Amino acid sequence: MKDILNRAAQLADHAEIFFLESTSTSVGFSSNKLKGMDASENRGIGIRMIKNGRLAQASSSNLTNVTEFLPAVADLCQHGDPVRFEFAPDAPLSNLQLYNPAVEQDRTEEYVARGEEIIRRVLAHDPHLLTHCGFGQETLAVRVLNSRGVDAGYRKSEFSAGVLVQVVEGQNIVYVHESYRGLTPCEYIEEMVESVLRDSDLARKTVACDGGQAEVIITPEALADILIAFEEGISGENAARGISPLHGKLGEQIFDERITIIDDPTCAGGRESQPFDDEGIPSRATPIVTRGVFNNFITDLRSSAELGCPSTGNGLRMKPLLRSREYGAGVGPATTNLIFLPGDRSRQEMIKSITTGLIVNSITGILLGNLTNGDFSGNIALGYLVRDGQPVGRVKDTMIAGNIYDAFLHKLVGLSQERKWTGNFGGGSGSYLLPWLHLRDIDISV
Amino acid sequence: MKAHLQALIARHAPQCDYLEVRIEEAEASSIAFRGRKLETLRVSQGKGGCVRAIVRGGLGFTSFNNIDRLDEFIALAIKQATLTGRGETKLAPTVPVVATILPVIKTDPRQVPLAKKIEILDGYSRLIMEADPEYIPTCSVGYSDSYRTVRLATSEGTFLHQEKMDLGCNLVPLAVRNGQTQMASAGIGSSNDFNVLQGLDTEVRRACQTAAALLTAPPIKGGTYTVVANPEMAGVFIHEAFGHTSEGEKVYENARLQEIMKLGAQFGSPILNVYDTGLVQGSRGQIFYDDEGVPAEKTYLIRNGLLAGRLHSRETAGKMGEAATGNGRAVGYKHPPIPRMRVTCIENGETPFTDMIKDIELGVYACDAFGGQGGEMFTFTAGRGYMIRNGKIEEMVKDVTLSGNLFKTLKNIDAVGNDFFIHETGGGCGKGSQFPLPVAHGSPHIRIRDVVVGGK
Repeated sequence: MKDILNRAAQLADHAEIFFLESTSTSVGFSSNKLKGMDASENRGIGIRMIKNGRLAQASSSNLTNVTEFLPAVADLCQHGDPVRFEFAPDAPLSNLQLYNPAVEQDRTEEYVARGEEIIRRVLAHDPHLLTHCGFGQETLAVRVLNSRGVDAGYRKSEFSAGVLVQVVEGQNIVYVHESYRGLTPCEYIEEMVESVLRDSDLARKTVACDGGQAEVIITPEALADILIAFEEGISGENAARGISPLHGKLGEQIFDERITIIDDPTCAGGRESQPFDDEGIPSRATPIVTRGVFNNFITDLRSSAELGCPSTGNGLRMKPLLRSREYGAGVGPATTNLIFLPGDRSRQEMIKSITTGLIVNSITGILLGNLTNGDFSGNIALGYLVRDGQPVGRVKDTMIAGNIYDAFLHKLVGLSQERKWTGNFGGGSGSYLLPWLHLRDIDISV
Repeated sequence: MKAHLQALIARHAPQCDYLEVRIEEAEASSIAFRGRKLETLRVSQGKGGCVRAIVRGGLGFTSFNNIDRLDEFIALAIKQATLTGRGETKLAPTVPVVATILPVIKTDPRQVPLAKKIEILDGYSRLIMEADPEYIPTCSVGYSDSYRTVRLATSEGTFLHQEKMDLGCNLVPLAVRNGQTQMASAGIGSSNDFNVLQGLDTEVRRACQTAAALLTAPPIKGGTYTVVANPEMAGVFIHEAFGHTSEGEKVYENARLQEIMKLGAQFGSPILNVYDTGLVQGSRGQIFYDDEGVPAEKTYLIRNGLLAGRLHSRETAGKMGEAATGNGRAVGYKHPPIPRMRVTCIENGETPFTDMIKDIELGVYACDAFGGQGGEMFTFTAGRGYMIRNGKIEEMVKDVTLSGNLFKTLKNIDAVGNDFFIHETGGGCGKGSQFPLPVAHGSPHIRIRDVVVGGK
């Protein structure tokens, strides 16, 4: 890797190499049956070169002949735009424990047995349910080197488990699911299955719901997806371009004072924890919103230079939309572990306090709204009607529409004490520690 | 390479029911402007492979960059398949093919100097930034092209060498006023001609006008409306809602959907015809063979209102006792082929646009689409919308999000226009982690009764 950097640095004024290697295995069950296994070993590098103050980027998964490719990349620089930032300086890094040696064990047989056990348990509950489930483990190796002396790396282990049950009742088909992704093996499989079975019982009963403005409880899973719009707002890139609704609002009250949000890549147990970002900037916690007051945009080197502030260490190479890490993706500001401080009411109290309202578990079409604006809208893929403090059944053909900058400022009823680690799109990507959020006067159409 | 792959397959094939190796090399370049700034200039090269082995219905799949270790990855895939196989392997038959498929390219982006590509995109960036400086402070202009060489070798004797070119471009003005942001987009894509990138000024200007006009457009009032969808919107609808639901494994894995999606079942009025085809010359969705070596074809999904077919990989077709349709596609070597679309279309009908709207008292004209999600229950957002009042297109409205039940909605299509065209965009189709796959969609205007439109 050092050779590649040295060669790149000879060809340009400054160079940076990002190396990512992923080794993973998974076992999948589909429709109550063991479907198959996957194994992958993929690696590649992202390259950035600056020559005469101009930047070009490249990526390669063909590491045996990558040095032959470098002159063409250096050549690209002449066409690039002038850059205002320098690559990261060498700096001391915190020591985070992200690697669990358990990831090296072949757990195939255990996963097969667990999957079969889950299917048995679900079928014992209701023989008509169809179960899809899967288990996986992955080792990530990351290394960042640049011509300013950075040469740092880390290894991270990741374990995942997911249970999805398909409920069919008359004309209705509903999916209920639970998933886990973390740095240590999943210890909650029984709880996940019990939770899915409880949800499946409730989802089977469809109830009618009126349109209009309603009280809603947003679950951590749904909140993670709604927050994608907020992440557009706090992106330093959008701030630098002048299209963030939060542009010029640093220090202002943007949310209810009960809301405090931190981006923390250093927290124990966070799936997106890391000692440094993909540009080699040491990780640190960044307050985003403190008691409703907006504190910081999240930035990478480029957007921080444009905004005239230091990088928050959020420069990540993420594939757009999928929000998965990729060596070939461009660097941009992205959240790591996005954390809400807990509220003061229990989740049960919140539900009990509702005379008529909804619990929203997941929303289809969340990416289709005007995200930059903070809009969240879509079809409630899974949601329950609450009457007199009790969930009574599932709502269907129901849409929700709102805007976070309006709802989180004017329409917050409360946040729960309980919080849950979750991710986007059913847990697949992103990392969030979130409470249940109780809002009022949210537009519902049927 | 050919002899080496065939020898490896011959050696390992006796241990499994089916074995395939796919080796891919790709080169790509991308250019992006933010406002007037050239923000991304990137080239990439990649090489990798994958192995799929099937033993008694169990699937083993390995993917890797290090092709020197191919032998080891074949053995691992077979071991995985053996561990999981407990049933019967059912792959729909296909005639083994030995062929080399090279695209017929009009203008090859690899021959176009980078400076020229930058100049064209810079021109669009300038056009947008000068269109309405008061309300359009920035834009995203993105372009990418790729050239892939894929070799497929199977234990049934297929050896296919296919080369594919793909390019796409999105031109997106962003309009801002009082903390509100709106966008619109113009785009293009092709599998055989760089020059489609030229001459988009009219589309770009229209996108600028749309983005700015959305700033002052009122949000639509939520409710149930008669909706007339323009060809772009109708194409996205048929892709997102019906196309994805027609993918073999969705039906196969869902007993109730199997019940509903019986071939021959009434899915719409006799004026409705829907197909998916790999045969559109120059389209991003054009393929000659899919990633399983099955020849591409034009597959009718709905014919005269009746369900006529679905989109199959060899696996889903085999499990359902139907024929493979050439829809087994993989986004790259990190993934196995699964049922995917190519160019998905509502066939041309007979109703002129003016006739379609003339009797609508209160309705919505939904144009273009940001994208969509979902199958049986779908949601998608129009890029712009207009109210239809007393047979006339009236004021622009925003936040036009359509949602509903697919089967009900298909049956509610009561007019199909006569102005069919295929829409090529710079985006791509996503399914699970397989994104973006080059596809396209086509349709004339269509009219749908009783659509739930979300809004305030």
